[in-house]
Amino acid sequence: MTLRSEPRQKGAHSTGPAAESAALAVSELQVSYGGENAVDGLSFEVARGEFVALLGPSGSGKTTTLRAIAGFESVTGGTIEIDGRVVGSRTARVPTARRPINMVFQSYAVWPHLTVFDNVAYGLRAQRVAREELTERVMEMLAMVGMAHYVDRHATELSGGQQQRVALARALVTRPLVMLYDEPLSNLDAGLRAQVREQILELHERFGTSTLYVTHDQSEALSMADKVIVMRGGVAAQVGPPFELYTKPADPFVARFLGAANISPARAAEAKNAAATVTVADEPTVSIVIDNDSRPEHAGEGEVAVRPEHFRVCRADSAAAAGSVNRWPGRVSRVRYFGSRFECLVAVGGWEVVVEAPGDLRIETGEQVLLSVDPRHPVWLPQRSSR
Amino acid sequence: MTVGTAPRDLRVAGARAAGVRRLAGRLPVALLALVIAGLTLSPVVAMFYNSVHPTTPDSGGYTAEALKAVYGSARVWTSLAVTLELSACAAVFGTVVGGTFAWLIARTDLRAKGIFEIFVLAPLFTSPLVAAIAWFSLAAPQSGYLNRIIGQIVGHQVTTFDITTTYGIVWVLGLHSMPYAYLFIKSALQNMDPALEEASHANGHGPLGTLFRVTLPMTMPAIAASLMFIVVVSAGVFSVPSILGPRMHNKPLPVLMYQAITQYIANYPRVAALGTLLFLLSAVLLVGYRRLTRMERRYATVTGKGFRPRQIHLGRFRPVATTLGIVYAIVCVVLPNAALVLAAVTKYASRDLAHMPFTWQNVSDVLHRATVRSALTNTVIAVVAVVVVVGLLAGLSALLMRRTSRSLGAALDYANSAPLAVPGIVLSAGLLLVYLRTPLYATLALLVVAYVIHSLPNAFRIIRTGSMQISGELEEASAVNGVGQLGTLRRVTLPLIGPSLFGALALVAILTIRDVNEIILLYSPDSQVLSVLTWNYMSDGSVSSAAVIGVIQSLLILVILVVARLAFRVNALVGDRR
Repeated sequence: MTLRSEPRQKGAHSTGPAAESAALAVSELQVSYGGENAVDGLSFEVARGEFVALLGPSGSGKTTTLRAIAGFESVTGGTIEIDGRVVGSRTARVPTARRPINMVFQSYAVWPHLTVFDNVAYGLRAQRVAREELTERVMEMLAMVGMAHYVDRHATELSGGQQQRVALARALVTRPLVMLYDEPLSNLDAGLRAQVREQILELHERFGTSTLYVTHDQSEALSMADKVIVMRGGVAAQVGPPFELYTKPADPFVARFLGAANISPARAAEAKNAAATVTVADEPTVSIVIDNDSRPEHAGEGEVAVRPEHFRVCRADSAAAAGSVNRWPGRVSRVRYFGSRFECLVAVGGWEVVVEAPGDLRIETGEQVLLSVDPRHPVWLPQRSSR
Repeated sequence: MTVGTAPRDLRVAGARAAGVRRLAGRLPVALLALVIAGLTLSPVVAMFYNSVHPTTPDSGGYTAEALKAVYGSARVWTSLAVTLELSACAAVFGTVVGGTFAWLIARTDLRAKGIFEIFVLAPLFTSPLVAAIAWFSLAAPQSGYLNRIIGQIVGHQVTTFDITTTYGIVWVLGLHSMPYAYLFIKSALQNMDPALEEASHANGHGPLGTLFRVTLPMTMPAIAASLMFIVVVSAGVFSVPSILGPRMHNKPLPVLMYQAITQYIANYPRVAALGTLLFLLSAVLLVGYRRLTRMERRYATVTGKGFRPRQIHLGRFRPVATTLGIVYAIVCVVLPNAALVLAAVTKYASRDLAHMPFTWQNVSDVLHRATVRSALTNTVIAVVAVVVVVGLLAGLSALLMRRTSRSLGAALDYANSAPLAVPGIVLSAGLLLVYLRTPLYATLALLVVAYVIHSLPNAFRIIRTGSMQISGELEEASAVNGVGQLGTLRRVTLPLIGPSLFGALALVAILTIRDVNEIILLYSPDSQVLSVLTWNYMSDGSVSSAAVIGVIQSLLILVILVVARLAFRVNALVGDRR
């Protein structure tokens, strides 16, 4: 907490007045290229110390949003406010160098002609930090990312993971008000990815810097962020904490994008009591009882989403299958083994679903199984007129 | 207030402000493109204008006379055919040799590649003119060293080797442009993902099958581009056919142009008309060349991971390849250069090789001539001036191309590349027509203008390639660290572009010392440079004086290469850090 309260130094105004204003506020942001809106009326806020992830497939406008906040793209509509001050709008554009931000890039962007030390010292020199303090801060930061003994190396002599850690140190050492990450892990191998991810989170906890993190990897967004903004076609499809997004997706797009989901067209009956029942279109004999906030209140068309891990699978002959609702016999038509779990394709009549089973169950293709789902888990996605 | 409800005039005002900002950013770029285009295109425009509108005092108004005389003359068309034939043969010869070396050096386990590469690139560092002198000394009928050695053995004069033929011209032009082919094809081979060849092996094709089914087709755009490029360059060379082809019945176009100006009464309309013909030929070829290089870019497979090109094991063919390389080095580099040096330090008249009077007298005589000294000074001045101007123009263009709009970038690209379509002798004639009646005429400054135009495309391409390789994120990373545009330029962009900039400028210096075609119609007795002097001595028949100057030019170029390598750690021509 001590570090968090230190006055930040990057940017022209170091004494942020309105402590209650969000670190970053984007409202009705619009960015267009040649007549097409890459970002089309996006609004969100990053509170002080908050870690927000912008998640979406390529072309959803998430990187464009980040680059507009950094000042690399012209804003064609709406405003970007940092620390209560407008830095980007149709008419005003504060140069990147004078925005109180820093950024980590997908390609690392560690300068090949400078040493590790000079890379990290770069922003501090722009702030005209005195030499002793500069050396101290650079070395402290490099130690934090575990790169202290590489100070004299050139970027070309470092691995990808090491370069990204230098880039991380280079950005954080300037104590930006807002940290921007542009898919920082996507050029790294799987093992390194986990390491650098932990490093980013550790440093976030330490400095408490408000963070906007762009990624197309749902597991990164879910595991790192306080708040996730799922983007589609330049707008936010859904905003919320990871748990809420995963368990209560607002539409099929979000449900599919955040992890695997079996999404089937279905029809809802008029709700009789607390729980609602929907009938799967492909297999009218299958009725699913839904007992959570998403349950339909009126009869109508829509889709029902069930995540693979929410199915319970047991052999048809076992007596373990309890409960009276949401229980269906099915036939296993495909099995994939992943060590800790099986992933099976099960046909319940005409309704085909992917289900997860424990790794020790040893299910085989062709077997008859019993599927069950807790009524708290299925999600009803009513049909939207706008789709 | 949301965008949707904003008053219309407010939105328009916002858009207008953004428009003005954009325009203010683009104006300087547009101006630069205009200045460069004016510089590079004016000689061509002047040529077309003068071919229909003679500016001699006695004639007024437009006339198609010169065009009729040129385009209606069977002799000119024959001459065009001869030009094309010589250039095409030189291109095929140069591309086959250069391509073979490119493959051997880029893709096989040939030994001592570094040394071979120096020999392959060596012809680039002497001018075609000096090369012609060297080959003339080595293999002129009867008087060439090779013939004299054989003559001494058999006891009478022989003409076993004869460089003063069409074959000889093709040989010298081809060898001289071979390094271009080498550079083109080698870079294509190096940029090719080795997985493409490995996939061919995995699909059951051996080394030869893979070479013909994958490697060659993928290199085709580079090969074709090299052919076109060499044809255009060779078509503008007047010096080689002038020296080696006095017995040719049909002279190539550049020689005709040279004669039209240097005959007793200079015929400007004729030279302009001839120039348009030669220009149109190159322009057609250049359009094809641009299409092919664009295609080549499409062929380039970009992968994030760096790869090492696969090395093909030559096995028992390795000694063969090595021998081939050594034979090339001796025959095509060592022998002619030795002949050049020998010609410089001997009295050419002596027939008896056993009693060759080696003498420094000749060298010191030449060096003490006032014309030589002033030519040396002029050359140095020209080199410095050309390097500075080209560095500014090409450097600014390449830098601005990173930030400006696509269309303005294309305009800069075209303005800088336009001189590629102007063969050397055509540039010379065009500039003569532009500046004939200005104070610039017959000054060293006009020579500088010619060299600037001539070397601009080469320098621009090298710097642009270097600048394109720098990811924009490297500059953006500087901005987010609080450094403004100028600071970013000074601390990030320029240091990163540095190697290609220095590499390009070294090449510019070499071209300026070396080339003569671009200025041969522009010099006056006061503004002679070394390359002009070489030509004048040679055309006066004073071979050994020409050889001395040729050697001095080569030494100067050597100095630049060594300085570039040691001081800036860059390779001229490619501009990469080694």
